[in-house]
Amino acid sequence: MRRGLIVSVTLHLLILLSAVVAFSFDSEPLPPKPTLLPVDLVTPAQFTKIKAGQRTAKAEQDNARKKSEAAKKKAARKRKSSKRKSVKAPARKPTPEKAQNSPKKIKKIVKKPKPKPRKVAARPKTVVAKRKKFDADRIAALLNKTPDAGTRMPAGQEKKKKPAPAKGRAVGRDRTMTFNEIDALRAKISQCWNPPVGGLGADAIKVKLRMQLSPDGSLSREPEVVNRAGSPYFQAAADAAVRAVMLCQPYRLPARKYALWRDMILNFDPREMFGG
Amino acid sequence: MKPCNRDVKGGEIARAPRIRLRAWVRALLCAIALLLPVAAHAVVEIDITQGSLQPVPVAIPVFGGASLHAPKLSAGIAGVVIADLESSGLFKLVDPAAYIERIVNLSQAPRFADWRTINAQALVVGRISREPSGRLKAEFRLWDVFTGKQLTGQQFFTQERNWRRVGHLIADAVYERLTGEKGYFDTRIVYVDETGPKNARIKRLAIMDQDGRNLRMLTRGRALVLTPRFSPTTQEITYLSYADGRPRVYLLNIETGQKEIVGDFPNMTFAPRFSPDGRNIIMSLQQGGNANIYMMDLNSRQTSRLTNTPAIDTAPSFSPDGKRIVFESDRSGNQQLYVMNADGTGQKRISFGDGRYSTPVWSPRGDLIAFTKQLGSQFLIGVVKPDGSGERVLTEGFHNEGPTWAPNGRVLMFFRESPGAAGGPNLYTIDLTGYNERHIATPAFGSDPAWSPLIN
Repeated sequence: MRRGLIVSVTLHLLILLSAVVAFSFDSEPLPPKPTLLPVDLVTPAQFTKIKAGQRTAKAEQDNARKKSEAAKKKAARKRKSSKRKSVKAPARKPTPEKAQNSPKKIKKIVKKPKPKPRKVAARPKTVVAKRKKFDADRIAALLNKTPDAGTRMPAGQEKKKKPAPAKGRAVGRDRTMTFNEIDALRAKISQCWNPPVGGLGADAIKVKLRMQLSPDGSLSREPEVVNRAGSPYFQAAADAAVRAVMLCQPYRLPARKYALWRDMILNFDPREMFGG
Repeated sequence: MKPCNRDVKGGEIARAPRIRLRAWVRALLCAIALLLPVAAHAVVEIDITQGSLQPVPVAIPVFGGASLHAPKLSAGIAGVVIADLESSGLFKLVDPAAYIERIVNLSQAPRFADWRTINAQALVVGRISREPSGRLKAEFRLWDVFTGKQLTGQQFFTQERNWRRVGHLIADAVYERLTGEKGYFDTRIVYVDETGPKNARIKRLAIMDQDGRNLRMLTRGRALVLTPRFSPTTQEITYLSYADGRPRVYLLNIETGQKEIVGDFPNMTFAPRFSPDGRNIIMSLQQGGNANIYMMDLNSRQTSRLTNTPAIDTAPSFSPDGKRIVFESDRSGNQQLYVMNADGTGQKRISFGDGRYSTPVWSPRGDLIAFTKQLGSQFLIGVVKPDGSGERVLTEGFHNEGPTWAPNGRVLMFFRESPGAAGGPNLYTIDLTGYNERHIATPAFGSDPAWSPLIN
């Protein structure tokens, strides 16, 4: 019995400890991300474009580009892989094959053609040149790629990178939303948010909202108010926040980062509007 | 991961307790280990700190009502609701010409998609009918167009002549639900109606709804009247009248018309105002070149002196909790604002800006004090926090004066004098943002407004 008790207590402590450790990590990983800085340096024009909100244009462009690129890349890959098969040593054969298979699957199932095809197709310059327009995400990805191309990463290492996204988990830069993406989202919601003002202490009322999105950027369910307070001021503020999020949908966010933006927390805090 | 699975599977129920325990321990540890990476994958959190301050688009179709003898009432009541909400500056009516759905049945949920299409965010639907007793029955529902939820709904029974009041009550309910603060539409204004040439004005006490309707004169204009103030608890007003050539403080019951002199003081009295509980009146009494602030108990008619300075202390106004009083005094050389405890102790100056501050009025919600400020040739209406910080000017002009608060402490009414021989005072409202200024139409010139508390 006593042993059982000891074990039970130890276990509880362990769970508590792990919870504390996990939670404290949980709150930290996002903010310090100096690697995101290049995006801001490169794309002021794109930034304003996103703010202006070229929703439909961007979507069509993306779709068209995806299709044409996918077709080109398929062709390019086939050519490459056949070449490699004939040139390279037999020990490396499995690698390109796997590399080919995984992106195909992703394209079909998850609709995320951007990261992987680019990595495979980065070598044939023609494909890169076909890209039509400036895109913050693509630039960032290209910058990412530069060292890869220079150092000619062996196929074995490429293989290590690819399986992770294939499971739907973001890697590298895709692990976080960029400042641009967050800023664009923030700007969009700000336009729809009409907080009740003038009430006594209304400027201090914060509403925490959970927003869950479908891959097409529309709300997958009604936004959920996470924090609660009983005052009529809070009720009005919470309603206004929910209205803003519903009014603003659909949201255009990079499809490959869906894992990141499918479930987000929005903190509505009107203090700055009152010079607080 | 694999050992975990194996262990969990291997944790056979039939085995010895120790082994089972061990298996459970491993299982738990594995579960924790599995949870860790999930927890580490932090949810993206975004702060939204800026919003747009646009009026909320509201759709208000004409109220329905099949058995109605006076169909004008349906449109009339909806019209009152619309006018009230729009006057607050916080709501904008969606053009009725754009309405797709025609609301017929109040108990059925509207087709929200139709209302979303025309960019309405809130929808007010109502129905007016007549009871067998002859009374009017008014019902309304406020819907959130996006979530499809009913935010509030009420019904009122009243005499037909009170139909405008029904409109104000509905507007108050909508306002309260959407902004979180009490409405102020079901209120009245008492003010001084001014007619005749500038040098021989006839001044009468008048009372009207806050939107300028249902105007009624309370005095005949034989004696000059000044500074009417509402009782916070009863349907009474106190004011100053120069009947018999001497200024005296009167109490007037609005409903009965009964009038009485509060106190017959040997000297001049000014600026009477009720305490928040309605039991006392504070005012200033002139003694020689000085004026000091006194409080009078309305039951016992006993007065107590609150200030004692060789200066002019006047225009006292209680804080809503009745614990403090703000007043103006020229004890420092020119008019400034001071705050003291209700017993006269702890007097402290709170205004230090340029210009002369006068007629302070404590907000009904306690957070601000409104004042008139003379700066150069301009008269400004502003607000300041009770500790003297956060002074803001809301409106300025040739001559603005006499601010009075709406009962929710969000809107002020004041009068503005227009220059010239034909000029005169007119009533205006302004909200705390300073942007929503509106003229309140009166048949003649109007000054010295006083806003009533909410009518219950």
